[in-house]
Amino acid sequence: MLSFFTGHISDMGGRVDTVQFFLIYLMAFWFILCNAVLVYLMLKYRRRGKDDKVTPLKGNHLVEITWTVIPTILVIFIFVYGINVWTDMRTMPDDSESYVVDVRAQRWAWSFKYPDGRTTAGDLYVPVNQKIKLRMNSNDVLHSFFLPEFRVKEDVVPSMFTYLWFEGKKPGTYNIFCTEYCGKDHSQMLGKVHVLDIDTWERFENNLPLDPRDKPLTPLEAGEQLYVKRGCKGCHSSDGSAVLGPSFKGLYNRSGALQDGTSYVADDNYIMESIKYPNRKLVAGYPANQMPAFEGQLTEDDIANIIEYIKTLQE
Amino acid sequence: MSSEAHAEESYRPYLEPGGLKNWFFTVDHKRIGLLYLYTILVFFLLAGLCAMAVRLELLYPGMQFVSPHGYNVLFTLHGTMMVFLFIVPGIPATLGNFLLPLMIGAKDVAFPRLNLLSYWIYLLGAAVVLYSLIGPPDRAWLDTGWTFYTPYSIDSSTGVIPVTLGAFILGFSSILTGLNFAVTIHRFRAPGMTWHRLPLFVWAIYSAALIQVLATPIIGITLMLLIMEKMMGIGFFSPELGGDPVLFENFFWFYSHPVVYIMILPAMGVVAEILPVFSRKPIFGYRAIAYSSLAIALVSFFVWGHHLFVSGMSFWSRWVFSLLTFAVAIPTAIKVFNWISTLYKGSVSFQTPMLYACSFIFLFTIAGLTGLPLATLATDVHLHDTYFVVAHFHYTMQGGTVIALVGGLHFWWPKIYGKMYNEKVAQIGFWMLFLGFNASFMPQFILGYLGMPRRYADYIGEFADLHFASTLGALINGLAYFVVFFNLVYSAYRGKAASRNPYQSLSLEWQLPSPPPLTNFDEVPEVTTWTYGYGEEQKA
Repeated sequence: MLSFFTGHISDMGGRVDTVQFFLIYLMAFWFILCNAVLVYLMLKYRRRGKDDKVTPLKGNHLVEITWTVIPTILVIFIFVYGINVWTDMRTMPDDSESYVVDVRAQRWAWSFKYPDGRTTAGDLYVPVNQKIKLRMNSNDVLHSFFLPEFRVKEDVVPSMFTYLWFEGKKPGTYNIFCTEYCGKDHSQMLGKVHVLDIDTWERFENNLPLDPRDKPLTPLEAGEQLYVKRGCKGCHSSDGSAVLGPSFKGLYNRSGALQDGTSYVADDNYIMESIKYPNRKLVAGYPANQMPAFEGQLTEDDIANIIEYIKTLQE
Repeated sequence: MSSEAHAEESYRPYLEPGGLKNWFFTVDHKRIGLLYLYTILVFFLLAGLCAMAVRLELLYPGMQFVSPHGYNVLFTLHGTMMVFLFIVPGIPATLGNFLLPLMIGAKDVAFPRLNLLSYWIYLLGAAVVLYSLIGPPDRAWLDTGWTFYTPYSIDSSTGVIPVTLGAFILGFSSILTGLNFAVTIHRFRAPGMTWHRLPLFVWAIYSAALIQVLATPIIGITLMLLIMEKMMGIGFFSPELGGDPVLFENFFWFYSHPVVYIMILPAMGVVAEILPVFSRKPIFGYRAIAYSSLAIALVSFFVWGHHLFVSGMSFWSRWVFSLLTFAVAIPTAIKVFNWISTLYKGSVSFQTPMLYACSFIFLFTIAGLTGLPLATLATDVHLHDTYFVVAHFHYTMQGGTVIALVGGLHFWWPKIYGKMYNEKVAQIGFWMLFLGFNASFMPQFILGYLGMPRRYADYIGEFADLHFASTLGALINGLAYFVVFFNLVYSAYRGKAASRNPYQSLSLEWQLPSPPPLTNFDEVPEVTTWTYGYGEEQKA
């Protein structure tokens, strides 16, 4: 879906592309002009012999002034043109006229919280022909929320909220990239924006499967999806291999020692607590503050689904 | 040159006597220039090999050769070594050291011992950076990118402290070199060598020296703050300690944007020296070129904000930084127009140095023009942190600085070693470099425009063809350097003897024997004319 022209996807993207193509033509014009003159002079005045007649020109005030003034006028024009489009891009719509989604970034996954309190991860669902305003914040390091097909991007910072808005006019699925380097799986911190037509959006709002032919997911399927989309997979392997955190393989009902010397049994309650507040009961040998707290990010239903998935990963 | 006959009798080139002690404890600016040259070329090789590994991993989508962490280490090492150990010392420390006193008619720089000290500090800094490689690769090897952005670098358990401490130390080397050069240019010009008779290379080195002295302390302080936060937990940048992570970006680019002009201004100086000699014509618009170097140096301090166009910075900050960034375009355009006009009504020959100078103009027009959509806010938002930026700055850094360094080395090689390189091999090397470079980075502009983010170990399938093409180009690009440098080094040993002035340059350094004697000028030269009086008193 990545393309040179995006006017059919969003109006703002189309306007950005117009500026971009104006600049491409301008760059091509100056590039060709400079280098055509260069090559012409190289050929015309190439050395023919020792007696070549050379004119010892040292400069010319009139040309110097000309080629100072022309670029100056030109860059001022480009600046104003660029500012004009960008001002509309950076002027956030009022909450009353837009659909506001909270975006939370953490290594290496995106999660979204909708006005009705629902959350999704990796996939952002929005209605077509509606201004979407994103209020973004990071749980850990710098990230950047980039919608290449909409030509918008803004860093996601831990110390403050940053904002972005876009409006899709063509239903479809588009890319989300993280464009601020955030460590090991930076290049896997991807997502999708689903711009939904009115009918599908209604199904989404009513918590029905988006495709009417689909059955609702079983707890196990939902749990496995959450495991991937919420970024658990980055640190907790499903095959017993050691990554940053303990593997999920054989985790259910496993017992062992905690950092403080007491012991644990990984039953439903322990796993629930560890997902919500990871620093409370650290398994011996694993450092603190590696995992973000999912309290408020995942519902009890979600966590129960993840536990269903963990149960299947027996030794 | 009345004393020429006398000088010839007692002539002893600066390259003698040999021996490690005579080289590593020399205070001669020419020898220090060569020490720098070979040291930075070692890091150029290492950093270049990292780039090759990065490109090979990107040949196909998916991970083939290294893990994601390994990839992050590779691009971090590539950037860190290229920036701090190769291209910042770059032309000033090598050609600048060798040529500056010769061009202004001085026996040495103002503070020869300080000059040697700055080389030793450079070695120390390099050793501290390399120290970060000791330890298990998955835990110790730095993976923050050369920009050390907080709070990632605060969290990171990898070698942030040795590398930033190394960069801190390297900063002193850069400051001392800049200080030395600025004082030398002010105080050590031969009688008659007025400011407006100075070679443009000296103007360029002077402008870069001012930036070195004024901007480098900022990165020193910034990296110190980072180290203090990591070691003592003082909250400058971490939000949980009350700090501001974006503050680090501001500090970092307040140095690291001006530093771009430490890299490129001397390269522009090299080109301004080569063009008139091979066109047999005075440089066009001498004062415009000289003053535009100063203008670029000045403006360079006020444009760092364009690195933060999508960082959450305020609306009006972005507005103002966009306007200021456009201001750089004007002196840069003036330079390009003047270089091109130098060829007009000349007698242009195309030996290797001239090929490099002309290709510099070609590549630099691409580098400069692609800066326009990055300064324009409407388009930068999309292009920011994509491969478009990667391609843009490689066109300035490699297509500009490295091409000029290599061209300058070819130009002054007969002076440095008194030997001539093989012209045919040099031209083969040139064409490989020129074609390989363009094949490598041209696809990256398109990748970036389509939205390919930088610093990605893996990418979606839609980008595959362009990445494949870029990697093929990079292989040719890398191979070309072996041809180029093998030819140069081989000629230093086996090349044909070069005459005193094989290109009939009018500049002072060419009036000395090749290689120059240890003390440069036996008598203080009296300068009566402009450096670029080609075409008047002499025919080609």
